[in-house]
Amino acid sequence: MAKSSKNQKAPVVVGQWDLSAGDEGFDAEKAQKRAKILHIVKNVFVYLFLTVCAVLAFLPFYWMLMSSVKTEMEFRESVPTFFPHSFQWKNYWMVFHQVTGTRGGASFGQILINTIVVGLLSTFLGLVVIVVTAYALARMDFKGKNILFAVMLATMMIPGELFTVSNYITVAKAGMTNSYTVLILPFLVSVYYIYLLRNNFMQIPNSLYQAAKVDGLSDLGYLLKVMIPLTAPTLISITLLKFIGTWNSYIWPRLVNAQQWQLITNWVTGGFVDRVQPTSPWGENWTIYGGLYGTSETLDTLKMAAVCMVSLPLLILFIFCRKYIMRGVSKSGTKG
Amino acid sequence: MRISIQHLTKIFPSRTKGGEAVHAVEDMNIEIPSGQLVGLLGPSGCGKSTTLFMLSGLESPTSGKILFDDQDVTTLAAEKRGIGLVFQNYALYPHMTVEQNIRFPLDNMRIKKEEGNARALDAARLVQIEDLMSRKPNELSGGQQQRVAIARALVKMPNVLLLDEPLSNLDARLRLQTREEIKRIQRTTGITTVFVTHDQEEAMSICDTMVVMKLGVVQQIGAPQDIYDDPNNLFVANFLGTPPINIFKGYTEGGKVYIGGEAVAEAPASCGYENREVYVGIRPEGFIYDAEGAFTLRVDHIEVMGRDKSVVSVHECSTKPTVRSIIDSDVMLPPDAETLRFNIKPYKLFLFDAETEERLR
Amino acid sequence: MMEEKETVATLAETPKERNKPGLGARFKREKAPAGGDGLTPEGPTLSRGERFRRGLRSQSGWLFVTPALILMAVFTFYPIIAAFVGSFQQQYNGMTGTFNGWGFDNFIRVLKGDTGTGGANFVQCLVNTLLLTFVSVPLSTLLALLISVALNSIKRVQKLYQTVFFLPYLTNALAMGAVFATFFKIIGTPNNTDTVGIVNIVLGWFGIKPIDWVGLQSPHWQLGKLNIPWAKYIVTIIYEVWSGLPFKILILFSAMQSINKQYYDAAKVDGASRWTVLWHITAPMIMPQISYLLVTGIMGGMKQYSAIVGLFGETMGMNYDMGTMVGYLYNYIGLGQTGYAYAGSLILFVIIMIITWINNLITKKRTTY
Repeated sequence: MAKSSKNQKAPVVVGQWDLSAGDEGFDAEKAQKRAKILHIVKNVFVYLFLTVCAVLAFLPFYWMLMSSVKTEMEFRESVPTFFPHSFQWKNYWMVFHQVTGTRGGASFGQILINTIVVGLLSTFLGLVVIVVTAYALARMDFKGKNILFAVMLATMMIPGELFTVSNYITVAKAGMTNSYTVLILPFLVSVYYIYLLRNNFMQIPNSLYQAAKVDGLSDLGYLLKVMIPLTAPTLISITLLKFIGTWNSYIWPRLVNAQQWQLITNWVTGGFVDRVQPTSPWGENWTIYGGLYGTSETLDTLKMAAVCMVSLPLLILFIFCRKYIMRGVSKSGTKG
Repeated sequence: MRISIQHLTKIFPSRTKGGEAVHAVEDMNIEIPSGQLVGLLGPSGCGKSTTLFMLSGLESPTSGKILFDDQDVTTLAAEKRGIGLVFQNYALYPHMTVEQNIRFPLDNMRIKKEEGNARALDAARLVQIEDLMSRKPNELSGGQQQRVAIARALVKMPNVLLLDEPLSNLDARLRLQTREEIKRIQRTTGITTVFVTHDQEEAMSICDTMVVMKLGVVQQIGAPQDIYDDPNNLFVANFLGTPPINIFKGYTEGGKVYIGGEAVAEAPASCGYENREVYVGIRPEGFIYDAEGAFTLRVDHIEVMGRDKSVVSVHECSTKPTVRSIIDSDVMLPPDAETLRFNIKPYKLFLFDAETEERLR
Repeated sequence: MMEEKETVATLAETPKERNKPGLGARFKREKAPAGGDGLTPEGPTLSRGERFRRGLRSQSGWLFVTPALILMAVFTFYPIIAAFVGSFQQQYNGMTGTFNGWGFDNFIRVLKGDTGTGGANFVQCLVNTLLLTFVSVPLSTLLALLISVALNSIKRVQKLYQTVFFLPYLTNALAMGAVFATFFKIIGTPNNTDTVGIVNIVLGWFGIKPIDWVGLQSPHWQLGKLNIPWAKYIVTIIYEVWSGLPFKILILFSAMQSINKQYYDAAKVDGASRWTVLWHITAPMIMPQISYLLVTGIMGGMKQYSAIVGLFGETMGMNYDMGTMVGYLYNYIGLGQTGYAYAGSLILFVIIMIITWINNLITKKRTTY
């Protein structure tokens, strides 16, 4: 202590130059000013670049939202308006009530129920399978474990499309088409999530397991009370990404199920064509030209309203669970 | 709870095919009387932690028996043995608060909430962490985490408390404090306690009984002072004591112990009269300065430590680079002397067989 | 039970081990009684039930993996075998299981475009897929890199920009494809003055005549049998760059954020310019992420399909001129031509394997220099 305080009192010598000298001070100030201006100019460019990119990134969303509340006539004006003259909220009502599609047809309500039921079930059951498998691979010792794990990882190399053809035949032969089961069963096992969770489980120190044993916890109790709480962030990420995966799935449901068993993304591609619409609360038979029969042209405003209804829940989910989704994504790089 | 370990052996099969199996513990026999604080001491890899884990029931022995009060618990699962275990890295559940951590064993025993709360608070009071109950482990210092781990082990009112290297993750100051604390807790609760350490000073300072191990084999069991004063073999003598014992290559002849050409002490009768190669161990405090002394050391330098001084010297027969002898500070040494002569206190000198390294008494 | 046997075996072997001279010398067991005293049967003798319980427990891991294993057997392992077998069965029909001899017929017909069904043309799909992938992936990676660098250099409202750039990630490829199509679409209006779409309007400011980007009159070049619908390519690439940015920015930006600030401070002290810092510190440090993005981007690009459906509908443009390899599979599943679908999926698999192999070669070279 005594030594260091002595050091502090000693005069500080910084090189041989006296930085406070008048002559050089002027130049330094000028250089500083120049650097400052350069810095500002650079920053302006950076912000300009980012803003332009951000606007372009956001533009489709804006366009989607605005188009969804325009009248079809306004949407088709030769010079598009960037802000609607009037808000046609009835577009949404119309979308909600229009029965779309040719294969059986389905209402939006039906489709939404399908999506939520399938999403919840496949997420929940998938999590159970993932957790149980990851637990066995991380914590239990059994003959052939490493071989099994290697084989599972190897299947990740194979594009999923290779399976689709056979799986379609399998479910069709089993008579499982046109059901929820067929949308859930083939996607319960996600090797990547098993791999991710197994690694998470393995990071938990073995001494915690031993402590739990001493504290009188069974293996199942350890899984439920220690491992799952500790890996909660990963599990939440997996849950969200799995649900989003169901929400966005399109190809498989279209392949195996008729319209009334399909999911929300399929519904977007259903034709929103100009034809006589069900009577709205606004009390009008509504077609594009106001006539009794439609032109059978695609109504883009209705399509945009549908796109909004599919996209907005995801955006809201994103706002609330940003941290988990971004973490899950940066780890896995998959959408579902 | 009295603990009896009988012929306990643990062999880990080799990891590679055809490799040598590891004998972690070999034929261990110990009787631990109830209410004692026992230290398992040895260098790393000596099987002391394996022994502790076999006592806890987390490892099962290859052969042998463990008895708690005459009841055979060898195959009993860890949670049924009524033991408390404190892990080296504490193994606190990171997602639970201190209170939840302490209560955790009670919850698993399905103890009523009020009683559990009361007991958790008692345990927390015992280790003086009752103010930290709502914190998470990562908000605690190492010493506090240690206390939580002890409280969690004690809350079940275990018959036996086991501690795995309890002080190794603490800094020097906390280590001193915590070892007193462990002693105090053990005294207040009267629980038979076994702890593992590689630090001989730590073991000597708080143990009632010390078990010195090397490569899976028990070398000596006894009270710390007894082992220090009467080591069974070269390893034990070398392992105990700071500064460590000085070891010389020597021989006995005609009833005398020789180092170099000098006869430094009487040899025990068992050595016989013929020439025999031995190791001579002399504790640093076993040197008495005497201008006419029997043993000559070439002085390298002298360290003054206040209460006493330490003569650091060299000798061609020493197995270590320097020889350290501790002299009372009142003893006046001739200044600038190149050599000093000493007499050796006979009870601070031990002879060991040069082959077996066993003590010659 | 296997485990238990092993323990018994070690027990039996132990005396031999103990008598090994090497071990005896190592342990110097002065106090140990002679012989195998410690190994007498009254050691940890296990009751029959306990033995069974432990044996069961040691293999009960299989119980835990059974659900996953059964599901994978049906939906992963079996399809691999089926695809290999089925692709060599001529005129194979998956639903009825009938086929007409073995051979490479499926592959030949798929590659020649001689399927006789009026479905998509494989070579067209392959060219589309490769062209779209190898243009859009590097382009969006480069743009993502620029944006990440810019994002990394600012302090204020960084979080806001980050969130805005990530927004497109969570959207549905199909739905947003439909939105993009409206930017380019020419729509008829009642008084026959077509709305040419925002893009054409903007291009009109530069004197470029309206182009039917996504419609029936979309311009294209004809190269023999091959069709190059360049206008649709441009639309698709713009959309894929847009939809590929969020993930790439997320990865690159977080990689840049995790670079130790000390490197930058050191560079500052050494008087390095921003540009030098970017090329000599930032870029080398995020090289692993860039190559990861290129690889995953190319892998994903090889499987693109949804974006095409969103932009051009389920027929993938006119006469499948915007078909992709995955689109090809679904097209032939829909047509009931399972053999062709299998053959197509195997070719896709081989192409992806080749890309993986090339990638491995490159990464190996890079890590060994």
